[in-house]
Amino acid sequence: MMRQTACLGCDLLIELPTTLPFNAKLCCPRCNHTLARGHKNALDYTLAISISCLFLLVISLSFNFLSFESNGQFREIMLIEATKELYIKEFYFLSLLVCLLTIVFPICYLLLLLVILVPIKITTLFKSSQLSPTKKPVYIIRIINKLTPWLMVDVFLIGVLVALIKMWSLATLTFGVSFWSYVTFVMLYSYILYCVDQQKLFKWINNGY
Amino acid sequence: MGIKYSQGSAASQGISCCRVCAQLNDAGDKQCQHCGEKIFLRAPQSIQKTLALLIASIIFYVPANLYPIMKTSVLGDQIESTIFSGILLFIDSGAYFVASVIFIASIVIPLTKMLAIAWLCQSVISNKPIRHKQLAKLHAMTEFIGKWSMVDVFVVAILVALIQIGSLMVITPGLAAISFSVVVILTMLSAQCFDSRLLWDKAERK
Repeated sequence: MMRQTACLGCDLLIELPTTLPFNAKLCCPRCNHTLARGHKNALDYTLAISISCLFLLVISLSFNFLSFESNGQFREIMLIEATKELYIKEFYFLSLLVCLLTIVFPICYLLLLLVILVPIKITTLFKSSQLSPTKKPVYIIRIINKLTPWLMVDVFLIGVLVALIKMWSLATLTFGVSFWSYVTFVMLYSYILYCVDQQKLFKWINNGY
Repeated sequence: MGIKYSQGSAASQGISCCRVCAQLNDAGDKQCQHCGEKIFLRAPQSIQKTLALLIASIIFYVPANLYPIMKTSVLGDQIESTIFSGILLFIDSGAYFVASVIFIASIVIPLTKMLAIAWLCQSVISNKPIRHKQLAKLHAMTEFIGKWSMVDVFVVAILVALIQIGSLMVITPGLAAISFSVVVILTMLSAQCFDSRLLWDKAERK
């Protein structure tokens, strides 16, 4: 099966196969823009990893992130404290920015993915019920599309590591539960971002509804 | 105006492709039939918007480098450090790796991004034929590296939260942290506004 589309990078009209083998990548012959990626069971993988990511994020938010000891002084922080401390110091813009980019947007993204995927999975499991074909949640994909460039959890993790190296010689640092769960979260999250693309989302919606 | 679209492109056949769902629509349509997103053959005023955001980001880049990004006060003494002096401090203490991470993220990436966007716009505006493949790659790179300059802002945020020992040692962010994050946001928006399809409508340089 082939379908016709245009490359988003250079607007070349091309025919694409609708199914791709695992790990295959389709690139535009003219501008080399990645058009689609093949995966053997992207829907189940994405669903499972999104749910684990949500759990990991909840763990990251509810325990100690880092603790810091120097000359008998001790301080423990949680992940949310990076936002809170900036807020207390009246840097509202920075505080909002850090909160949005590292916590709010990733959560929104995961929840929106689940809103799309869970109903599809349930209908495929129980064939009896049928989702109404007129109410395809396409607007959710538009929101996801707008959100994707602003997910910066990986950048935040690198920032944390740089800050740690900066402090390493000055104080004794210990990592909390939340730190490790955040590291795991970032790795799984990057896999989701690698896996999910616009084409897959629309394919899921078109086949599932 | 008589815009010429690239050979073999959807636009030259009177078809416009939705940027979100890659659905093909009639060129006359205002909205995508599939997802409802606004559609157009080429993003309207793409170059103007890109340049406007680029100029705004260059303006914000000046205070980002001149003002302190972080103020450290130890026992009442206040030390102010700018982006550049922070890097020099790392080099002095022998942490070359961290120094290079910060140097690349907060000086090399923003500057190359601004230059790259300016170059892309210039090559679309000028009448000369251009090298398509290289410029398309340049645009993909600018979109990809965009968010990584945010590292410095996050470092400041974490340090501010972590180092808070009564009145012994307190770290507060400086004005540069705000202007630098604005620079990152504006350059990201600017790269997003640029419609890479415009490059391919230009004549190829042999």
